[in-house]
Amino acid sequence: MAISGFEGFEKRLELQFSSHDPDIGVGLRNLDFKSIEKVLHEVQCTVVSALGNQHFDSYVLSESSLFIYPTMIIIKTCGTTQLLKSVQPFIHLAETLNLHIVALRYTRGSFIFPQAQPHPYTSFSEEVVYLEDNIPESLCYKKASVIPSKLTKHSWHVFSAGAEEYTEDDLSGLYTVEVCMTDLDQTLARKFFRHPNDGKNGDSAGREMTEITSINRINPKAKICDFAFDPCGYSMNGLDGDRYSTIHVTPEDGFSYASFECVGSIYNDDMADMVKKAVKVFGPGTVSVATTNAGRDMCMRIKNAVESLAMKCRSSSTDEFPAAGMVMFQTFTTRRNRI
Amino acid sequence: MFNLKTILIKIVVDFAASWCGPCRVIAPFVAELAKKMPHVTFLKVDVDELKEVASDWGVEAMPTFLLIKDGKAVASIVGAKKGELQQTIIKHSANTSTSG
Repeated sequence: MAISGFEGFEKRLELQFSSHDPDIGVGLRNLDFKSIEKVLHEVQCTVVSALGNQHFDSYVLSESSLFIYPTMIIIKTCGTTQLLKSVQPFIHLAETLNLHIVALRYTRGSFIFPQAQPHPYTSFSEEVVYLEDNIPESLCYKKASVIPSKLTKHSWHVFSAGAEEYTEDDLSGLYTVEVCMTDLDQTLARKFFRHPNDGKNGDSAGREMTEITSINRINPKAKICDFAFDPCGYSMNGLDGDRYSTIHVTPEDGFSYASFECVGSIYNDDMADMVKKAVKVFGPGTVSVATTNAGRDMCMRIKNAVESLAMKCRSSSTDEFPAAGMVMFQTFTTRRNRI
Repeated sequence: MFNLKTILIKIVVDFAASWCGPCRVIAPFVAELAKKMPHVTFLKVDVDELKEVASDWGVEAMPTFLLIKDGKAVASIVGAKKGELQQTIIKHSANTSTSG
């Protein structure tokens, strides 16, 4: 492995808001772009492309993605970005629209290059201290946990805080699936490199990658906003009604990484199939799947889908969070360990 | 008179909505382009006010730009993609033709 390279593993933050005013309208989508840019500047990234629909706005960032719903913000950033610096500014910006934070969830995998991370990302306990210092006391149902796996290098870090306890009754029917893949198949990873002087821009090169890798077939109903970086790397956001999906790829050999994240609904049962198609795009040596609120049946279906790609489930652990519900963390490796 | 620069596309339609963040992101860039390209007509369709027009053209996400020539869409750009928008308009509008 390289001594240091680009950190593909993202940090992910989900902020949920509510208002006393029942007529929220487009809520957070009213935030002006200059304010959003300021927050992103703190985090150390910029917007490279954007697409919205009736339900939400999506932004492809220089380091991963941002989604803005009327009452929810999801931001994930890779590399050595300062994601948690967005917590306070987003809470303040939402206040200007009379929206108050009611829940926060921070998740990430295990960094490939932990020593390259700035404070507080050097250790999960430091991150938790930072978060606790930067959220209001009203988010009193808190828990931080590192969900382990049998693969020593992979564990799932979760911090959740909410103003109310999570109950199955207020189940929106939505769940989140976060897939992290490492040790990508080299031939497949090569498709995410651009040819020198290809005469294309990041948009058109990105669209070409979406097509040649069959990423556009993962959810054929989704509208895709994609971008190819120079000389390599790729990001996309997919919009399918009120459901987003997102893929980010760091294809360099030695620290290759790809992620697929999608929000699912208990009323649609295509999630396992989408996870399978996404994993197939990259042919990874190791896969981890973290599901939040998906239910054991869906987790089992996802497990079977990944195992149908000549992979074996090596571990499966769950943890309960008072404000977020159940998180299941499953890890997989190829049946034949590659050299 | 027969060696004319023929403008191949005439109209760029920008399907947008006031509540769409990405539409606001690219709006100043589109305004600049329109200034720089007086030979191309830029139109903006508010998808709330003209729902039927948006659905007739199959617009599901915003912003969507359609490049229209002779009443037909010859290219579309889905998303606030500055580079691609500019390149595509140039490609379709700056070709020269010597036929007459």
